[in-house]
Amino acid sequence: MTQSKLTKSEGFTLIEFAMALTIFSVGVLGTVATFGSLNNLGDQRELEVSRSTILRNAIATLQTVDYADVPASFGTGSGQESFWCRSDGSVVFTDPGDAIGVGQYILFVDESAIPTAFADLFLGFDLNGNGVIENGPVTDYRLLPVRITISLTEQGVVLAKSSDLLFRAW
Amino acid sequence: MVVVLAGMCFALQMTSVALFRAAEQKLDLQESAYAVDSGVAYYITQLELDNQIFVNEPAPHAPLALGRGTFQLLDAIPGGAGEWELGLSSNVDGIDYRLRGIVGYRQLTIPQGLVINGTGDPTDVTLTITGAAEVASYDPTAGPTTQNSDAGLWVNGSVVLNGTADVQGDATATGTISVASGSSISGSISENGDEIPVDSFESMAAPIIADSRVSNDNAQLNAIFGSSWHPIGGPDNFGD
Repeated sequence: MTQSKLTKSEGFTLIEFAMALTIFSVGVLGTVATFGSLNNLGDQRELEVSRSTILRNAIATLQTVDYADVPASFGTGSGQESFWCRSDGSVVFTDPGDAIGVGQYILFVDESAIPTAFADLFLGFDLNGNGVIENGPVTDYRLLPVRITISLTEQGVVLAKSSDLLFRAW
Repeated sequence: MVVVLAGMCFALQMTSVALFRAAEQKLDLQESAYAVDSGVAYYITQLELDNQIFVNEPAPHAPLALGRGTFQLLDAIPGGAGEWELGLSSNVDGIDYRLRGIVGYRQLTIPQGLVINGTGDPTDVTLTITGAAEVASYDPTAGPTTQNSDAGLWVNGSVVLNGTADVQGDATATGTISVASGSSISGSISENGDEIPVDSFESMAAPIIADSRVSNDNAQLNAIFGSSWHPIGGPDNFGD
């Protein structure tokens, strides 16, 4: 009768099994983490695309406003107005209930209080071209510095960015 | 198996990152286009404030910061009648956008009042004032509601006043001036006078626009699209 005997090179030791399990676990965890990361990046990408459309519509909306009415239409004297962003990229001024984000126009109508982000205008700029840099808001501007802030949320992922633009009253 | 999984994860991650970057770059390109538009608005305003700005401060100018990016005037080529062809660029997060545009300021001298330019034929009624319209001069020191009688109408063509239309001032025309019984002109009336000189303006944009036009083969397009092809009429149709 032959009796089989285990040699040192056959089978798994407990240490070998533990190492294999560890490597396998790292692989599985890495895979799970990758899919989580992929999901996050996908949401970010969707938000970037949505923001692009919303920004375009926000600018188009502002361009339809009579410049003489801008301080009145966009918050009395403050030059600010909030808006809601819908999933189709449109911009509305009352909460539609299904908004995917919010935004805000900030109009810098004080000739001597323009932020540094606006080229060399921050030192004071004659927005209405009357030869004087007023220390206070003007309503007859020809050049209008505008900041449009858009904040979107998609399944816990938040994208909040602002764009600084110069509008020309024609 | 772990190596295969890692490879797959890496490939997926890279693909996703590439897609994400592409979306970001598209957004940066959009922002860059808005930045260069802002640059055009900025330089039109600068030209309006100082019509010699591109002479006194020749291009190229240093880049100017705007939000996350910059815009820059690269060159300014003078044209006729106060026009300039500007080359601008912008950059947002490394994405460039370039634009060429024509800007200009217009200074018109209005001789003594309102000038209406017609077809050149004095018999054409160029100006009709109806209803209870009031044309008067205005003294800014006296406030906006005061009327003065220094208004002047200068018309290449004929003029008709109907209803109770009223002109507080003089009227001069190369044709006739017809004033209905309820209407009035308080000052002197000069008919059949010499043509009133009006500045003509030929923009440097005109030849560029003309050069950019290409003719389209309407017959060929008609063969392709059949009855759904409708060539537009008038001067906008560059076809044969």
